[in-house]
Amino acid sequence: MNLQGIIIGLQEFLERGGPVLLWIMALTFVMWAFILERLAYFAFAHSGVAARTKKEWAARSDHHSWYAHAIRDQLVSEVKLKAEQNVELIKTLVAVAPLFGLLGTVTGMVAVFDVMAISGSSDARAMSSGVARATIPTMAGMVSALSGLLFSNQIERMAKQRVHELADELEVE
Amino acid sequence: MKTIIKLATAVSLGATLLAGTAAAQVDRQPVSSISELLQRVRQDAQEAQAENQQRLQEFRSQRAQQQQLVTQARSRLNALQAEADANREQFAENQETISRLDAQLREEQGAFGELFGVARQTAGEFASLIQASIVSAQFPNRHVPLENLAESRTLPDANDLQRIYTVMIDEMNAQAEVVTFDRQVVGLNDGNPVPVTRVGTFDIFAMSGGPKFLQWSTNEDDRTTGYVLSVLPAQPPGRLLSAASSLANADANEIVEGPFDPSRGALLAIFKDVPSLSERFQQGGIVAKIIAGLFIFSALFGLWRLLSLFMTNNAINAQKRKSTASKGNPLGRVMLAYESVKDRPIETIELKLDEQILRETPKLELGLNFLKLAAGVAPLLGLLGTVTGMIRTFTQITLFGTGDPRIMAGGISEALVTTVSGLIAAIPLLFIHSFAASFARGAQQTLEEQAAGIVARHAEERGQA
Repeated sequence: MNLQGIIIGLQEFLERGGPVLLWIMALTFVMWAFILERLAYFAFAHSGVAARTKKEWAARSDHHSWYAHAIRDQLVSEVKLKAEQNVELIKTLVAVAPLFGLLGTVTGMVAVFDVMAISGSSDARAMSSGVARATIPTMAGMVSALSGLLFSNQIERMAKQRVHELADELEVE
Repeated sequence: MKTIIKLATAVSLGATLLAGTAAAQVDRQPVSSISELLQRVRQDAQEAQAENQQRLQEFRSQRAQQQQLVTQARSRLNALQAEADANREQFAENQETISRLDAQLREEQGAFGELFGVARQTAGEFASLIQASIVSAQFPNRHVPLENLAESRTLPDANDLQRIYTVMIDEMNAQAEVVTFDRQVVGLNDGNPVPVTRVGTFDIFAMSGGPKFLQWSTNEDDRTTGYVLSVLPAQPPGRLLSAASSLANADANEIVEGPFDPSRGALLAIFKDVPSLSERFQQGGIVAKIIAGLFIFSALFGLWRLLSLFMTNNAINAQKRKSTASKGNPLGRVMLAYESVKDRPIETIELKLDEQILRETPKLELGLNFLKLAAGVAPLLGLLGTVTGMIRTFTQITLFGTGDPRIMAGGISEALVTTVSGLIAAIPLLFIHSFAASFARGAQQTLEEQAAGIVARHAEERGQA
């Protein structure tokens, strides 16, 4: 299939899904932007942050007083804040995606009943556009949530693990 | 006494009426007593009798003359009767001629008789068809000759027959045209003509401060007024309007996307029946209003919390870089708490810091639980509306049966609109809560895990200095 065919097919799909599908699409893009940002952080930036923290700790002569412990906690916490940035937001986006799907379901049902109220008949063909509006966003919301769910758990675990590793490496005397 | 006089007057009035027109005209003295009245009545009777006598004598003297008048009238009657008989005969003869000529006409028409019948019928049907077509907005009254042909008693001639099919061909040709012309439109430009674009026989729109779709219709209540162009009560969505305006602004022979209603206006007219946003909200009933109220209150509250947490976070971040503590932010207050006990043993310092941090935490978390609750309750309220709507629907089914889906539509609208409004309220609240909670958690984490470190760092720096 050529590019134009794909674009036309996508347009038709979006049109059949109604306005809610556009919202779900935007939501999925935002969610995946955040997920990719996190993955990129762990792949490229995190090691640098961790190394800087380790160097700062190693530069201290005092590793056992109350002050040293407080400073170590602060160093770990700063790395933790960086590692866990946006994780909550990704989780919220994952939780909201099926809600958007549900919104699409209900607005689609409203469209179906509009058709029934105007035409006064229950002709399946007349109602099919409303049914498409109801079902396509539901599916899209589910798919979006599932794809995000997989990665949001992974990212959360990764963040915890990396922070833990770092904390282990900052040795206390 | 008074009553007697009144009675007498009434009686005299009655007598006056009885006495006849001639006597009534004479102006007489009013009677003042009953005896006088009696006398007056007698006198009148005598007068009337005398008059009658006189008339009788007159009649008797004229008897011969009367006889002559009677004979004259009789002879006149006879003459008129003879004339009537002659006319009747003539009439019957004419009828016979007419029927003979009719028969002759039929005989000579032969197969044409059927043709003329079909021509009249077609002309009549087609006249009403093109009258309702929007092409008639461009060429008004083109149906009139066809209508006359359909109603006339005389035989159509070759021109009339030709007109039927030329009009048909004109109509077919008009279906393929997109033309712009100036016409008066009801409700636009104070009745002055505006440029109107017609797309075949399918749809028609005016350009008067933006495209406006029109309808070509009669007044529902009074059909005699004829067809007029008027603005559609509800305009279709912007996609169609922009297609219309691009069509109106296109150059000749340029290919552009234009609006097209294969049902000749019926689909465009349906937009009138689609409820607007506020009508939808009305359909939601009281539950939708409760949800809207909850949403507005919680959203405003949430935005306020969001703003204040954002500012607190900024202040904390600024404080991290400064060694002088200020009272204006949580971290500064923790640092001030350290300053007050910095010469005491480590355990005391630690306790003092923890105490201050515990004091700050509730301020950061203020209202977050309420936001979470509102985001959770909004879809539940929507569900409540769904159920009350379904109850209404089932009540109506019990009362009226399931014959007409329109009867059930009210309850179902309520059910669905409340669900929608519940979700629409919940989604932004969830986002607001999520942002606010992550700000609060960030600030809290800074206080719990970093405050001690920051304090220690400043202390060490001062110790070295």
